[in-house]
Amino acid sequence: MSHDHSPTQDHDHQAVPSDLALRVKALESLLVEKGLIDRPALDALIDAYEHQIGPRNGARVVARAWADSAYKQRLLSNADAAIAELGYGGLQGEHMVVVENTSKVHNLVVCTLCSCYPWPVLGLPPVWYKSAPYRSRAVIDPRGVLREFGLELPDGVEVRVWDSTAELRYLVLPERPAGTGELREEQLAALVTRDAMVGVAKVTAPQKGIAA
Amino acid sequence: MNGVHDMGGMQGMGPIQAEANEPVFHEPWEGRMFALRRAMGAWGKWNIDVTRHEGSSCRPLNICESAITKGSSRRSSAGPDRP
Repeated sequence: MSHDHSPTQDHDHQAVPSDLALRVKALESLLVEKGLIDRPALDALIDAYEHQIGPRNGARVVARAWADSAYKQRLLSNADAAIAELGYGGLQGEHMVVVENTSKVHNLVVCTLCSCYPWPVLGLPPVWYKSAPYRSRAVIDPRGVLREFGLELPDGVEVRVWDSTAELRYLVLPERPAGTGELREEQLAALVTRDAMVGVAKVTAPQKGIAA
Repeated sequence: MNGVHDMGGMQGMGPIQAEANEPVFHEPWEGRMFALRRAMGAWGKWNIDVTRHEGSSCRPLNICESAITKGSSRRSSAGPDRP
């Protein structure tokens, strides 16, 4: 059964803006008229979440932990302070817990109630993280969920699922892939993906020839 | 209390649909609404409990629909309550 799942296929070519787009526009105009908001401030917020506050921040935290064992210990014992050392923190990441993957333990993060996610280190969550299929199943069939992401774990590996709350946010410290001993911290950070820091993927070593 | 938002352990929600190279905001209004909410939050007129109460007071079927349909945030049917 093969279907074309190209994301462009289901794009709605609407001649007029949707009701929702108009509603948001009206709300913005009203709040500007009342002097409650400033449009450049909105632009700055959007830019921050599109370009500055995202998974590259978390990747730098992970790479530092891989490269510096003292930092890793601080990260695992007091994540807020260790993450702040790299300049990250604030809204939706005030109380962070970092959970470490090993050859025997794999961690997976979910928010069964809604979409709680560690913004300062991962940015805003992807749609799948907020979706019913992920939220419902991550806690009763985590191995099945991981399989859907293409990650098959051996039976001997324990899976730990962390359900986020409005206050507590989790970041997975993935296993450092073998064969990366020579890489510098920035090169390590480039290997770390958002999915690996949520726990639905592993970090893989670069292809030969790219490293060094 | 329980409610449709409390999805942990429910069955029958279908496959996970992950979008490759997903943008932070799918449509411009998503970014505008996100920023509006953040900016207005600075006035301190509501707290997290108010946010939770309002969110959980939305029509259950709307919550369910918006959480199940991939990219439903792009469609007006996932929007505010309607009769």
